[in-house]
Amino acid sequence: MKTFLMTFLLLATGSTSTMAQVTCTPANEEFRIVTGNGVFTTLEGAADNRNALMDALGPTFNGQRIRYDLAMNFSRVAIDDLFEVTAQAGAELDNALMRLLNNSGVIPDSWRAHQEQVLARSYPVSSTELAAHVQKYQEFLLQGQKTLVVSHSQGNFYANQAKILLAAKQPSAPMESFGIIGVAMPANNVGGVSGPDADKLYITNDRDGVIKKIPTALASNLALTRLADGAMENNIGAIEGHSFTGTYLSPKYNARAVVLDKIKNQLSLLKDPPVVIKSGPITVTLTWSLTNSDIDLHVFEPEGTHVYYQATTGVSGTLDVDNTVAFGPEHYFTDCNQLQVGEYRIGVNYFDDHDDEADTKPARPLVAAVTVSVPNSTRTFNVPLSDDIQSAGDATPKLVAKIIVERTVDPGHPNLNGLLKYQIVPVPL
Amino acid sequence: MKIKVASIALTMLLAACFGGDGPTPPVAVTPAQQPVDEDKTAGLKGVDANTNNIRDDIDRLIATKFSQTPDIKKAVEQKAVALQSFMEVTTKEQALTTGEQIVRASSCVYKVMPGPENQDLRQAISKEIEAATANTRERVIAYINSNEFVGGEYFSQPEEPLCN
Repeated sequence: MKTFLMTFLLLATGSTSTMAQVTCTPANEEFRIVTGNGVFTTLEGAADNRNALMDALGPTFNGQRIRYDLAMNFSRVAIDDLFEVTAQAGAELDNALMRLLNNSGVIPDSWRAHQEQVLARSYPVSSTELAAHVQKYQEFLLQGQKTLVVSHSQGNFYANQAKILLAAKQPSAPMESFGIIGVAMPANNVGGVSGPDADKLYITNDRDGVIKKIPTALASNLALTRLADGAMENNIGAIEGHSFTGTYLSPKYNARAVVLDKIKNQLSLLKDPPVVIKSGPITVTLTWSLTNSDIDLHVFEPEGTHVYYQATTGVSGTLDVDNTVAFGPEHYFTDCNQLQVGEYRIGVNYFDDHDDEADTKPARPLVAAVTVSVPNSTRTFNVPLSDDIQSAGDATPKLVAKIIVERTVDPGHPNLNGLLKYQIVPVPL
Repeated sequence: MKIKVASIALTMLLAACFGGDGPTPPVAVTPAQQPVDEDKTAGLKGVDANTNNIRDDIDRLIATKFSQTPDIKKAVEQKAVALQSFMEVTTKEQALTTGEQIVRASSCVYKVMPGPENQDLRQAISKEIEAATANTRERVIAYINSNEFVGGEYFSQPEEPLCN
């Protein structure tokens, strides 16, 4: 393992040098675990779930670091269902509703019935919500990173659908490097695996009253017992039994060890994918939706260096993949040692529709997906393109985003002062 | 476009919970665990006399329940500020930026209070501060709207420093 902490000088012209700390581990030397949340789970709850898993499983596996991310889904329809039910029952939307949603405070039995009813419904998986998740999974796999999605409840529908989309995506992803572990599984399969073969891929405890109400769900495969006395847990509510942190990862129950064992087993089975794109503090990945075509990624670095297919090495970073055939990827990353403070501008140019080399007809329209990642932040931008203008677009590509790298000045928080901060700023299309 | 998950059938009603006859009784909400002197004033911001970006009633909640150590108090305050900011957003980009602070604040809590022995306290912090932040109809709706902004988004593991 080559994990190392680097301290480096920033190459900002005309400014005094400063020190910053960045952890620079090549992506292919790390696992990626992505948590997916259930219905009614706010970002606060989803972040708590992610951290609970990280706290339980630890920062490494088999000597390799694990990075833990969060793929958020949020079903407004489910919340509106609850609002409607509440209104019908005459309750006020006030402090009570938030407590009822996050299961804090005293929950009336009649409310529990409403909540179980709504939780057991099936809500459509939004393809729009899935797109950014799938884009990231593809990026990780192209970086050579084994990726495991650990999803809870409704999140399993998203994970299952994401796997289907990922397998169909171009450029093709090494699917033997991608896995799913389902917690509180409402579907009848885990990533396309059903029957006895699915047992090692999911955990549903027998006190999970929400999953029990879904007749087509995979059967519960764990008798929930208390660790304190080894007895079956019979005094837990249906919704509490469904809780990711409160039950499945709780140190009070046997489910925790089973969840962690199944995750570790899957991690050990994932295959190392080939490294197609490299990683760094800033990465930009371009893919697009059309075969037989060439879209170009352009990056203008802070001192004006233009990195693109004709000049692939900049002061800060490198265009390490230039695809001229179909779908991408094209990729830019910054080197840990060469990162500059300042503004990076990211753009794309529709270079050529190879179906019409003679330019006798309009180019086929397409959508380019540009994923920009910096420490603590990632954004995916979808850019419609319709006119192939070859090298005429090189000097003025369609700008998608800016990345602003600057030093933190915050006297109120001394531990932040002087460190680098990164900001991704969308550019209106 | 929505993709229907065709493999799942729906279980719709729990008739046994309500019996077969008569109107559905109103839901009685027990206020037993609501904070003392709770701020339910109009608007999202509430009263923040010390201008620390935390409502004063939440400051009192933190002081009485979540100040076991100075580091714990600071971590919980960081969470409270993040949740308040998130609730007040009006654009997707604002939601993403403040959402990243929620993720970071959650990580700070786990850094300050790691291990299974602290699970109950961490859970109480997360749920109580969230519920106290979105404690009126207006605030719940704003908070839900903020969450809707981040549906479909992706949040990377935050880098150090996790705590302010």
